[in-house]
Amino acid sequence: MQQQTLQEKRLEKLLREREIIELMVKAFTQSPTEDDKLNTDLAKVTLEHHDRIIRCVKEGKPFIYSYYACAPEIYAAMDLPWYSFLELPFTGALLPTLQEDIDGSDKLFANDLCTIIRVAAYYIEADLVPVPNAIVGLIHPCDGTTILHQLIASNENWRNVPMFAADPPYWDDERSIDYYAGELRRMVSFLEEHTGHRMDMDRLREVIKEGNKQFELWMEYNELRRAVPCPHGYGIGMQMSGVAQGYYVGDPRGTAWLRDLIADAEKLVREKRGKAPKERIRLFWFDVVSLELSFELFPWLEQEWGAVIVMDMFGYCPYTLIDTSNEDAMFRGLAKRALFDEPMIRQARGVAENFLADIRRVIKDYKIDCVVWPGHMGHKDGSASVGLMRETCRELGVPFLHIGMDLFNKRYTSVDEIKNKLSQFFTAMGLG
Amino acid sequence: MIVGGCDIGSATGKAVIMNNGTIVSYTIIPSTTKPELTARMAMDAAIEKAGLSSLGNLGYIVGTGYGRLKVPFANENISEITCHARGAQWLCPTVRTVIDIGGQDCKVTSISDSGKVLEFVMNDRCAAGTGRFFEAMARVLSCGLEGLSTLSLQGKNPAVISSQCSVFAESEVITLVNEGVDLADIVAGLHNSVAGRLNSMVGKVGLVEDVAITGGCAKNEGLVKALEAKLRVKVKRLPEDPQIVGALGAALIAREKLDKKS
Repeated sequence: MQQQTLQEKRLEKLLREREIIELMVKAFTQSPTEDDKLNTDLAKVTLEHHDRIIRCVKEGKPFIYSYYACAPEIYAAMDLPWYSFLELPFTGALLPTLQEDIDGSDKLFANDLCTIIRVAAYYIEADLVPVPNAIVGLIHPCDGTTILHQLIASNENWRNVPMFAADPPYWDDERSIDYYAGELRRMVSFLEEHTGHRMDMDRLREVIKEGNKQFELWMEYNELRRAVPCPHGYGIGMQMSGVAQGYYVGDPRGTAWLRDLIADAEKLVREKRGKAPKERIRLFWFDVVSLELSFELFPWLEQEWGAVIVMDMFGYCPYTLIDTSNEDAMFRGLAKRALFDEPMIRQARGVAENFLADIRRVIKDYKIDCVVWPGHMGHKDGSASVGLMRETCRELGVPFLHIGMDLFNKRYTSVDEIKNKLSQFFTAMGLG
Repeated sequence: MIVGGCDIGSATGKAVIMNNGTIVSYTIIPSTTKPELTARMAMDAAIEKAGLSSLGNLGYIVGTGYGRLKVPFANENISEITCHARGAQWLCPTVRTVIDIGGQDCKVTSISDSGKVLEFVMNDRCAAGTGRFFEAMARVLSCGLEGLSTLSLQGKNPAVISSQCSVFAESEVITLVNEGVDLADIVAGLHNSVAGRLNSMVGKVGLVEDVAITGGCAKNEGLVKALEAKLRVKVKRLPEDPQIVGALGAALIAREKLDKKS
């Protein structure tokens, strides 16, 4: 039996995941509904990115690891292959080894650290992911990312990989924006130095302009979700951040995808139809939507309770457009977007009012019946604000539920436990 | 019109029968391993006490509690949170905060002046601070539940018990006993520990007076006193057995349902 090479080991998860996604694409294309078409496009672009990283590893070409929300427009403008630390744990729900990976992560950290961070750390320690040429870290929004940085610094395979992490300001004033714009410029210099890829300002302008189209379309789509019944349920409609700030950043195909999404939603709104069999509860899920919950919990919510996630943390965005008239304006715009638009970051960075403002606005705009803060155990940044969230919802006369769960680890919180709490909540509040 | 409420909890089954807004009878029995059987036994006992001949005499029955889905004769199932709130508010119209300490879980509910549930929190992940906890401690200390309550009121210097988990608290208690700490002080410490946990839960929904305690543990005067000290409010004593409040609330809702049908 041929011994697995180190490269094969480091690519194994990517390759296995790729196989599963490819199967999904085939399944979607066999009996394509409008949803399947949209899902197929997302799956295909995911494959494309996987393939790019795999080629870089095999051919020895530079690529970077990055957290999300680190101005990916810059990567696109530099034509720089990038991979997110948190991607594998998120999409790892597709693999049968997820629980095994979580068990492996339990050996590294206590289980009160975010599971997704722990699993990413486990992949690094177990040498299950390829080593990048450079790393762009993230200091906010959660303490888990900082701990991951520390692990990287102590790992013998990763500690010599150059790392840059932009220093986020606490406040929102002009001086803070200018400061962060400067940090992003430093990031460009860092990437140029360690990857050989060069920044092309004209290309950056093109990327940002395309991104502006996507953000405008995102806003338009979110307007449609205000309709009663909501045209789309959980899942695909909530992945705007992934589209506009992920694989489709600055990509006209992403813009086209958004237009298709809007067309589907418009049709349903005109027909006064929603994806849920019968919408009875309009829910604001104020946190991440994990892949596993999309399979097990959210369909149950819609079918059992007619509860539709009208909006979630990642779907809601202030839709800031970026001025592309000059270089300074572009970097300041990217800084604003990174600080003020990116979900989780914009809520958890700074004061609790950032959380509360979203709650008030979403409740009002989307005719929300109840707010659910899943209370992911890793989101300690938000946990401190739960009391204020309760007060805000009470002032607005909207029931609030704090579940207390792990979005990614069913052993911490079983799906049945979550269902029970939601059922208690709906009936006790007279929603069911 | 005669209606019934049936609350099937993890430790006890309760049934209440009302006629024209008055409690006619109620019963509390230990839960069996089968919720359906518990429900039948509890309701049959209440029917007998009420002088009725059969279930057919009841116009509407609402089930509640963890076993509510297993109440075979219920016309409808309602959350125990709603039922406890309704029952407590009926017994004490001024109540705004209901602390339900059951056999295996605790709930704190904030209600409006009309009895509507505004918010609630629950502890259902472990037995800490529940009836099971006190049963376990009573076994360790070789005294009954009633004795536990009496002893807690006699403690002069309550021992500090940091663990609220049943398992670890038991270990602490054994250590304290071996160190010769006065039994009454140990028991008082246990009650303070539980009260502290409940106080934390109340803080999550916000304390609004008046406060009432429901569930079997509400009969533990030592716990009620300890909780009053922690909350710094006087707890309203309900005029009926606090253990039947959930079933009472269910019966009240059953009456409303029947009224709507008429």
